[in-house]
Amino acid sequence: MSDIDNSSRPLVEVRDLRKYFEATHGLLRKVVGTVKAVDGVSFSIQQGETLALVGESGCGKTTTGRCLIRAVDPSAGSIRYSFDNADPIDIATVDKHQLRELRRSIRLMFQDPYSSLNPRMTVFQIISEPLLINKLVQNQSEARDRVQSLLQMVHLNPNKMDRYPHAFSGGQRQRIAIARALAPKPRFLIADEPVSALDVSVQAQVLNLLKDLQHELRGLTYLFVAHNLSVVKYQSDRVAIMYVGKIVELTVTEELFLTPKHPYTEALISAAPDPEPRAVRRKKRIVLAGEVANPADPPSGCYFHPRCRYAKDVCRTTEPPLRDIGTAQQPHQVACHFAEELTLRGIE
Amino acid sequence: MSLQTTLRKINDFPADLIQRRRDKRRKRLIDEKGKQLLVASQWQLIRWKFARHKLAMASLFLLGIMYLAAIFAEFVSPYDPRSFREQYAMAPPQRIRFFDPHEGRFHLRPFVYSITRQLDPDTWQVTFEEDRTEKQFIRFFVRGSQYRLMNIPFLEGNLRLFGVEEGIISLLGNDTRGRDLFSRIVHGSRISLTVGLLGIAISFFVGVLIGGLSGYFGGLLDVIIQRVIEAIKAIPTIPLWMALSVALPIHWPLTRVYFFIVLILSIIGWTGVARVVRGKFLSLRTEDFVTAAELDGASTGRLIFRYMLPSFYSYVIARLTLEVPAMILGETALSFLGLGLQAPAISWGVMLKDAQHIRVLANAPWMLLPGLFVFIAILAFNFVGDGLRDAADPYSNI
Amino acid sequence: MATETADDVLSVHDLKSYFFSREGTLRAIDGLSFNLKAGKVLGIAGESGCGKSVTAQSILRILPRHGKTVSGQVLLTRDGKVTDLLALGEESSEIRRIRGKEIAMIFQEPMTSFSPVHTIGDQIIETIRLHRGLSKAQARASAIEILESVGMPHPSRTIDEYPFNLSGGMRQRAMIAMALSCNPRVLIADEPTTAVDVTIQAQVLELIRQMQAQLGMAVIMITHDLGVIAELADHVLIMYLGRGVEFGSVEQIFHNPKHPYTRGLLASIPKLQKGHTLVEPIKGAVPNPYDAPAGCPFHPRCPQFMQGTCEVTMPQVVEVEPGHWVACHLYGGEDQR
Repeated sequence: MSDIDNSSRPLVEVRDLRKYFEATHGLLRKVVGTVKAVDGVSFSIQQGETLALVGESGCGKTTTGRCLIRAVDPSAGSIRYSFDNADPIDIATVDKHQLRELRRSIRLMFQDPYSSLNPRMTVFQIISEPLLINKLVQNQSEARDRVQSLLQMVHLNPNKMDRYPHAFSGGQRQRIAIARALAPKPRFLIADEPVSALDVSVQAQVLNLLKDLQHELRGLTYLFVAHNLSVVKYQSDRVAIMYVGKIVELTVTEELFLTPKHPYTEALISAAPDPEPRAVRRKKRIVLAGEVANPADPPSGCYFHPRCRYAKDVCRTTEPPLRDIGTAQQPHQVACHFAEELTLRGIE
Repeated sequence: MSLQTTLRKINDFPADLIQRRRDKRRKRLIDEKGKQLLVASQWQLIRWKFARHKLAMASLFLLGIMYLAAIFAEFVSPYDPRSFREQYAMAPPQRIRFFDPHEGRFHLRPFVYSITRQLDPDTWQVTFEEDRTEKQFIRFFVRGSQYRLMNIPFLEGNLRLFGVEEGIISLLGNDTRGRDLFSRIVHGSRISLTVGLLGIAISFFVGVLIGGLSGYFGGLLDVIIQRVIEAIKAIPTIPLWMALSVALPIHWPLTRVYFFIVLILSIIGWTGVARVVRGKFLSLRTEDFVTAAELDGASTGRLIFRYMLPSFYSYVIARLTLEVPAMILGETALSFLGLGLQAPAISWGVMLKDAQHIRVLANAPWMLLPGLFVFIAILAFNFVGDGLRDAADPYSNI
Repeated sequence: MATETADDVLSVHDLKSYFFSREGTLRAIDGLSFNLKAGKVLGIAGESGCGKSVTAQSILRILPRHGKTVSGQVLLTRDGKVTDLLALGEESSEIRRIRGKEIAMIFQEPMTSFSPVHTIGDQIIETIRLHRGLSKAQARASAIEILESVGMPHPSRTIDEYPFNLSGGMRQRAMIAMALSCNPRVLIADEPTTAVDVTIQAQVLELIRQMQAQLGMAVIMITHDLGVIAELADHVLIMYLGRGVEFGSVEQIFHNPKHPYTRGLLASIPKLQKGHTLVEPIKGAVPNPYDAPAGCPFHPRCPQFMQGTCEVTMPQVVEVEPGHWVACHLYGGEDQR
């Protein structure tokens, strides 16, 4: 695993993050509804660690990631970021100047490498853009040197830096995107579904590259936003499961997959298709009824109760708080009234 | 017996090898093209894609010739477009010949027969008769009447592309006052063909600016701009143009009238561009590569000029090309109605106005020829626009 | 691939479908053969550009305009009678009868199979009346029954809904209902769960499994997700660049893969089992199908590439164990030509 530094304070500490989108109507933009995309999310990430944010579409995982780099402005909450071991600053309230500096340290990687690279710029121009904009290099030749070493780092031939993105395959493009993200020497990389747009056989290239880079650039920290549980299990140190804007379970990867404590986690693990016919056919799959709740009009009590097979009356009325039921060494946060009582199935 | 089996018989040469060599050569060719493709910029890709559009290429070539002729109108036209020659009034187009049936001889150099004006003593009908005995060979780069190229003082000369030594040459006939129609059409294209280009240039700048503001900043500004555009679009074009051009003072010099006509024509044109640009800005603002650049710290100006504009101005230009014909037609229509440019200005619309009279149409139908040129120019612009539109997004099928 | 037996409902022989464009000829399918046994599920797996969707389009004769099936046979057996679908005209009444009635298809995006201006009921009823010749009232009753059987809540009410009023999962169910409304012999499912979330995917797969058992139809499941294949399929066909590279039972493919590509694919996917911590990518990327490599199309990425053989000749399909076919030089097989 990676070099996680548990002793000092976390690199990122998110407290009660909220992002509400208002649906407006008409010329005067009257507010007709509120979508609570992110609704009171708290977590922290240690330096050098990979935290995965997992959930189905519309659960708020992408919005959470975007709030952390202020690509989206949060409605409420704090995001404390320990910038170069100085006193933490709150990303949610920093001014424009600080934000610019911050965005050299925190970088975002997109899902679709076909839309995230400007087709009208060469690979060199794309990768050198953050360097030139932020004046991290003095001149073109220095920029070329940097781009060359960045391309080598992501295992691409530096001689190809004057080609345009259309000359590269999906996997190669995603590596170009990684090189661009790493150009200003960041400490924190938010990777939003970095492999789900790629062919199966090349996904592993990108996953392994991200892992290797974390090892090489000691202290590189990832927030890994994904929906594919097998990929998450392979890639992350800790996992946070989100459902309709809230975290329902958060713990160390092993523990989460072996002994899930939230019925939603159990169902997700059970539903994940696994390329192993014997195992798949042996296990009795849990098929959740219904669909993900509408975040504009969520159910009462626990948002998951209409689909939960363990739901009792209290679940319909009272929202369960996210609480720690683990040990001091291994915290295990879960938002379920019956977390201690239920024995849920994980992987075998 | 196929070539391969023959070869095999002769040389005991494995056919497989031939095939493989052929494949290799093909592959090398593809690779070379492919290598260029890998480092090709957007404009190169557009050029390649456009070049495959045969009709558009031909049209572009044709337009190129027309614009060159417009620039060097004095040189291309054999006569001064304003010189009256009453004795040749309403002379019909002459036939260019290589073969002289009278002599029964073939000449390498083209020639025309001299024409003479005949007046029917009873009906007073004027006819022109070819004098089959008198050939006038067409000479190239001849000295003709003095001119000033584009009215620039030090570009005086008298060299003309072609002409005849005696008599006249009238390729497309003469008008009611004996002015050479070909020379007039060539000179007229200066106005008729540039009105559209200048018009779209203005439309482009106004449209990109206003549409950009609307799309980039959004909010109330966007709402207001959109309503204004809708209001302008709701006004019927031709009556608006007519009203505005009637309002132009009659004593204004020609050039000023010309620029105001262009302005009037582009008053509607920019709205379409503004809409397109706004839509593109709105969709591009959420595009990943723009977000990525924003997070890189790119300034608003850099975002707009390096990321957003380049990804659609090829498209806007293609669209604008398709709007040139409307402007050419607009100028023609206004001048034809006598509301745009007036004689002594020469434009295709002004010339068509001369052909309004029924007597003219009956006796000199060639005076409608400027209409044919309008038609050709418009078709050519449409084909080029189609080709550009298809090529404008070169990333669609790579 | 695979020997022909009496219980084949659909067998495809040496199918070739090409796309013609200015860039050249794209050999989307270049000599594909497989059999589908009645009442069984065949999974077709492969990456982008392998031709798995074109296979479905070729069978139903619904290729896009610039595509053409240039050779091959697609034999449909119904009640002892064998019809070659490729011998029928693309718009002939016979193929129209077969589409929907004998072979139905479901797609990745349910909206593509529904017209937005008609209610889902109208469209299902029309299909039923067209193929089963029922009266309007009977067809409506039958449609409600089918909607209920696919787990649509309040079928007698949803039948009058427009497709855009339904949620993604419900649309998927409605599309399956329409496909199954005429009791087809063969159901072709083209990436039916790619656009939906895992929990909905589980629902859809469960539904397909149930309906398959209930109606006894044969299913062709086209997907890039080997997990879906492992879960549903009896037999598996692995495709790469327009060719079948391996065919076998689901156990043979997953537990005893022979082709280096199949092995590579299986090794490159992270698995959920305990202790699985290593994935090994296949090097390189799927080549541009316009410029497919000579010889075995997989040779530039193959870890067991044999110089002088793999890049020269196309490997022949050989049976390595009963019912398990591989197209790879590692297992012998002479030049195919």
